[in-house]
Amino acid sequence: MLFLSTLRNAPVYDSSFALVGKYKDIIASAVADQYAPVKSLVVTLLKGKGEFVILWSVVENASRVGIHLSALLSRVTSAQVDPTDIRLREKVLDHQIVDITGARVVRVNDLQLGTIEGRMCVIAIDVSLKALLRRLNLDWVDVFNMIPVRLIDWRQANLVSGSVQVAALSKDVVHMHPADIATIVEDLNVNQGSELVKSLDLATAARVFEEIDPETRRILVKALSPDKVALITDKMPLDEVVDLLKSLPAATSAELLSHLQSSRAATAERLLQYSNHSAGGLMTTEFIKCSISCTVAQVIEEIKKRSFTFRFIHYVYVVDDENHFMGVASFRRLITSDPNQTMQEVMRDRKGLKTLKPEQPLREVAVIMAKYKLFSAAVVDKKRQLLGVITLDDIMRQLVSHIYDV
Amino acid sequence: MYVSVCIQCKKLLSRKNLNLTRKYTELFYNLMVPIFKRWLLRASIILSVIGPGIISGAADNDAGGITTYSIVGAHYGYQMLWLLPLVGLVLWLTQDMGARLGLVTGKGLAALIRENFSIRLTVIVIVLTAISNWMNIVAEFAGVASVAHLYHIPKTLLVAIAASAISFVVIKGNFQIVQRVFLTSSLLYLAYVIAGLKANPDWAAIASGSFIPHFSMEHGFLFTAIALVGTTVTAWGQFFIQSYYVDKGVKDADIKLMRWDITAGTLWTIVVAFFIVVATASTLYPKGIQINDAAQAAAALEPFAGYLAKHLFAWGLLNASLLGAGVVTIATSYLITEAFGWEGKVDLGLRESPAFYKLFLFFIITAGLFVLIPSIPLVPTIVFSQALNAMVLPLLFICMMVLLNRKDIMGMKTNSRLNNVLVLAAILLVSALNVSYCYALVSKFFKIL
Repeated sequence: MLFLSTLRNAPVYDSSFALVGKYKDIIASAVADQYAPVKSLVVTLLKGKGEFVILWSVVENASRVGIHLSALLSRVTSAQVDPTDIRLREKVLDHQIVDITGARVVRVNDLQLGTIEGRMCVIAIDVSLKALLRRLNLDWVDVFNMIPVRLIDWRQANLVSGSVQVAALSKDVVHMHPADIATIVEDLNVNQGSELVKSLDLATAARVFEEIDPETRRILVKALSPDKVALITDKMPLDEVVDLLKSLPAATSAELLSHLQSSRAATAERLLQYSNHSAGGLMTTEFIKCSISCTVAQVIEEIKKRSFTFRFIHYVYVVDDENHFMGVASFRRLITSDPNQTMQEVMRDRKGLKTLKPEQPLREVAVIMAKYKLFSAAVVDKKRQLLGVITLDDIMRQLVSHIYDV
Repeated sequence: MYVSVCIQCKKLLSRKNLNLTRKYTELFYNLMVPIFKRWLLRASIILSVIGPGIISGAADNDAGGITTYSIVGAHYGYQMLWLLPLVGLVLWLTQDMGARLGLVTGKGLAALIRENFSIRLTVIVIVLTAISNWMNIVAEFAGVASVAHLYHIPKTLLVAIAASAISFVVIKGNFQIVQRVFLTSSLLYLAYVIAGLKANPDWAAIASGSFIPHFSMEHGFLFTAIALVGTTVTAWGQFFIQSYYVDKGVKDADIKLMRWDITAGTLWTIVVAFFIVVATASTLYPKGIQINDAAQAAAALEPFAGYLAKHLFAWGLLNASLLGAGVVTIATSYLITEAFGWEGKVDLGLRESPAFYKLFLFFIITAGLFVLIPSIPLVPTIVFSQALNAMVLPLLFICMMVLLNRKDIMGMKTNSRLNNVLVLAAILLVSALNVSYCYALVSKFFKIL
């Protein structure tokens, strides 16, 4: 086991025990999902002859005291360096990495090297204060061993400096939950964050965008091109788009609105009038709606066709020809009932249902939904027109941010 | 009958009126809205970029600033005025460098130093900056304590209230909104401009003081001169402005606006400083008053505000101290977390970084307690903190110069030669002041022996 930082200024001797130079850096090759094998050693030659790259197989042992080579320097040929190779000290040490399991951005304080299957590899990243103290020769401060060591498995980490690595980062990141990706985007700086968002596919980018905190999102919108933002917003549910529009300065918001598809833009403009904390602001306009005269089979067919465009479909909302809210039918009801029945027969009639008004504040909405144990509730205006649907997760998010201040 | 007619008439009238009003409103609306919208658009663009420079410019005139400038004027008259334009130039140059570093790299100064210099140098820079910033926070609380002194309130009470108010706003509330309040109220400094003009200053003396350098190797002079530099050009300001620009995510194209922002901030700092010096130099200097507490400094506002001078000064100082304490503490906690990888964001994401809060509270509490030491001389503490600031500057500027000249960091936007020469001159100027002060200190020490 070897810490990279202990090699600082270590002298390099060849097989005749002659001092040939000083340690400068270690090069490792990046292999996906593996401990990075150490490839070569960079030596600053004596008398200012520049740097010399030596294959790691020539290195006999390496420690704080010195690095010994197993051959004469004159016999060693300079090793190849691939563009994908990483200089550990220059590019990794002291730089930021993304800790994928922890879903956050941290700074590398030290690197741990070790032998795995006979090869020297980079095993772990030390992000603890202890590593910092060790590098400053201040280990003695921690006499009682109070400071915990925090290591991150190399395979679970990703470099973030420069846009190249950010692109590589996105490969690993795709498997994470959008909310975790959002945390990482928040932690990165604007350039890196926008790079990362750009490298994601649009659907993921849209989900990530919903989760990012409003302030960071505002900055990101500025950093990304308007076209890109428009593409991302196309994949977002309309209520989230409206939230985004509300958080933007007037000019940017207007520009983004003009990029929306015309049908969505009209609805968005209507939704924009409602306050954030009222039923109108909370509701989504994307839900499955069907006519009262449809048969169950038709509705199920419709769901099969369009279900992928909706986040949740627990209920089907039934309206008459003039979009008056008539009732709801749960999924269970649809599946268990006879396919030839009409919705009129299957649905729960609106008379027995609690509906919400668009101007009702969050508090009332939450109380009603809790009292009547609703997963979702229809928002209906004075003329009984169905405006939208509030689902539990929208309420949950608002409440959590109220209670825990996150 | 009569009543009903009246009501009818009234209704008619009002309907007619309503129509007329509506017509005019529409006309007005059609005319004004496009103008207003355009204006709003422009204002929003400007507002979104303008900020960091002006904030740090206003926060520069904090408790340390007011006190130091007052002492410069009261003790040395117009003699040090020539330093102000020079210091302003240095402020502009270095803030511009910091902002450019932030814009190009998207990283804060602390992160850049950590990534590009050795860990030892990083720790040295961060620790020195933290110490000088801590002294700055102490100075801000000393400002609060001075206000307490002016009103004969126990300083413990006011300092405790101030410390808890700042902590509460930063941790629980939204500092950005409060910051705007402070920024607006820093217009109080205009009082100094008026006071300076109304005090019948000797314009010939001002001109000669501004253009003919006056220098002395006397210990007090050098100390005050260093404090003057250190209060205007600050280490925390460098970190603050860069981080702020990084978080704002301003595009390359906005560099022009950024320059306006920085120019406006610098001008505000220097103009206010100039008038504080003029006001104190024309009221206190002729009487030979040595400023030992806030009440004497407040006397400089008397030509303008008369018996209200005390209150004007107190509120200005309180405002400056609170703004300064908030900004400096945030900047310091942030730069430490950034250098050691315990990051959070300056804007709203703060809640994710517990290290930030711990540091923040640590600085606020220790600095507050330090001021509460009985019989601590407030004014000398403030001036000392500003001088300490200047001692850290050369090291910081050298780091920035190195970073700005590296092609792999700045790409095509490396420092121009003119810029390099000017900043080098600034570094030399500040170092020369530091060295000559140390020399004066040592020789004074030997004289005593």
